[in-house]
Amino acid sequence: MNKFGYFLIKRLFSTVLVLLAISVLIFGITSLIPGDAVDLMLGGISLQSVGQETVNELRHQLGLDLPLYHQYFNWLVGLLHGNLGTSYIFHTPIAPIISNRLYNSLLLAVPAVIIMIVVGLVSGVLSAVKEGSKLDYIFSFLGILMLSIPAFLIGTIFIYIFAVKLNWIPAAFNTIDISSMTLWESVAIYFKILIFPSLTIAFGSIAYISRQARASMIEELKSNYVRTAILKGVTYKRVVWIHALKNGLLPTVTVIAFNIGQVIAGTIIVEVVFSYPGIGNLIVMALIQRDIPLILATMIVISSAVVVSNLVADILYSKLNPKISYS
Amino acid sequence: MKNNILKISIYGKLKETLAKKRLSLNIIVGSLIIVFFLVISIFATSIAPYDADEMHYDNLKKPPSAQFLLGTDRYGRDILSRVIVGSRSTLLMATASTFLALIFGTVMGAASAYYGGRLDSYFMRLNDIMMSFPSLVFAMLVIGVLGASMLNGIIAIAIVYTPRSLRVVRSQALNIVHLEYIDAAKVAGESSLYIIFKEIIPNLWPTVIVEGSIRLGYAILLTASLGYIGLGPPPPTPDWGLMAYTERTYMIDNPWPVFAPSIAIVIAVIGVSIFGEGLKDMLLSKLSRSKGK
Repeated sequence: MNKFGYFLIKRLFSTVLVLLAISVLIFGITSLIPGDAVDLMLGGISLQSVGQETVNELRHQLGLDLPLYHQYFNWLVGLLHGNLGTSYIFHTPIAPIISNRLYNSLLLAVPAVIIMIVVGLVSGVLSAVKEGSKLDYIFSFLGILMLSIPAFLIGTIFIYIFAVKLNWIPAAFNTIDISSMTLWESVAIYFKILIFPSLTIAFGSIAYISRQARASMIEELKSNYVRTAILKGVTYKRVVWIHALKNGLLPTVTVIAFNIGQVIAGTIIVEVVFSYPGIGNLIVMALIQRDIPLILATMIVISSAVVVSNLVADILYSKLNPKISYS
Repeated sequence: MKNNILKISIYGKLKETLAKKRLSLNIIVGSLIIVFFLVISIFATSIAPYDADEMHYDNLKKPPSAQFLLGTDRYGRDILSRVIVGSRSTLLMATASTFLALIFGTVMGAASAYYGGRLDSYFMRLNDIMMSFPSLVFAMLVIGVLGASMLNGIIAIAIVYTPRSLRVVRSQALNIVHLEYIDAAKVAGESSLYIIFKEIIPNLWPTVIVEGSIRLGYAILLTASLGYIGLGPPPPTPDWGLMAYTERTYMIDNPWPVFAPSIAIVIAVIGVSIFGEGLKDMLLSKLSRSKGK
């Protein structure tokens, strides 16, 4: 346990370093955007009518006349205090917008991850058990198909069938305000409407998990302990789903963690498809309108989500695998 | 200093495979699809029945008919022509960016494996950081800085995929740098650059080609997704992703302006991926997994 604690501290420390490096990278890249916040705020107003002095004054107020490293430091300090700055397109502080949108996005993404893991594992195990059978080929073909279909096509098909043809769901979700709902209301609306974008997000990642689960399960089912268990009279179902899956899960955990990035990318696309007020739509809007503080904030939130999920996967992996040396 | 013993010639492999008739169905179907799209995008303007930007004002949002095989969009533009001409934008962006990422990834990966030490650890740290962004997100960030256009899309996807190619190439190159013929080249006094470009990289070709063909499938999807969220080439360019986005509001009249380009994307990606899978089985057969893949 001592060793594990050491591993945990080391891993946490490196995660903090990676997050810092990411923040530098995001800040550096974003600072390359031509024009600064003041230019954006001026919009179409000509410089003469405002006067150069006012512009300089404004730059000074916003701290934009400071050297870049100083600006970065100010931004980082603000970030650590939960102050993400002010959006230039909304003219409001960013932190509440982000937390609101993040909640909406998580409502799509978390069930998507669950669907992805359950369907991926079950289909992977089934095709491993029936390796070479018709079912295996069907799953393998479906897998190629799923990996080749862009997320927006799945979403569009859902909209075409369930919104345009059957009129079950609205064609655009931008009027749905989940943040003002109670928990039960949001669960109800999830199963009525939001399950479609969730399924769309899960769709792209199921095949990765299914493939990995199949490959590692085939290995496990060939091993001696499986044969021993069967010969001892344990039912085949139990051997597959309890004994072998426990070990076959190990490499799959890594793939699941890797797919968190996929899920986030999928969420962005799906939110655009369904016009859903989540963080993905926010990031697209921020980039197209070049709202620099908003770009910085959304990017840091998204990359932190990926880094933290990788950390969780690492810890989970070492917990699942007693053989791993914490080095 | 030439050492051909370990050199794996692709041409030789291909000939051997053909002779053994091991050419898999994947490769045949995949290359047929690739050739199909190649021909379409090269001769796009001559194949397309109409000018892709021509607006037929008396035929707005029409369903498929004999005159317009896939119908028309809200400006009365022929969908079939736009899908055909649109293959250029999507496939060019995907191919060019994959190509650039492969070149940079291969050179940097080989150098990283050869020099090792500090350069290697710098590259790997930078890689870790860049890869903690989902590829779509990082490409969006780069395009957000550079502005949305075809060229910037190519640059963005190349930047995103370089670390991913670098990683694959480096791990293969690590197997090579310790071989005797590299030591022999060093002893013979060859320069590091000569060893990297003439001794290491030629032996990485199978890995690079397989990585490239698998990467290309992802690149097509990424290009289409970027186009869809409005960070690809600006309208009125007939881009597959962009078409699927801009026409979706009018699906009730004619869904083909959305579905036709999307289906084209799916077919192209399937073609490239199964070709890549086939190549993987053929060139890296010892690495490939059990049957039925």
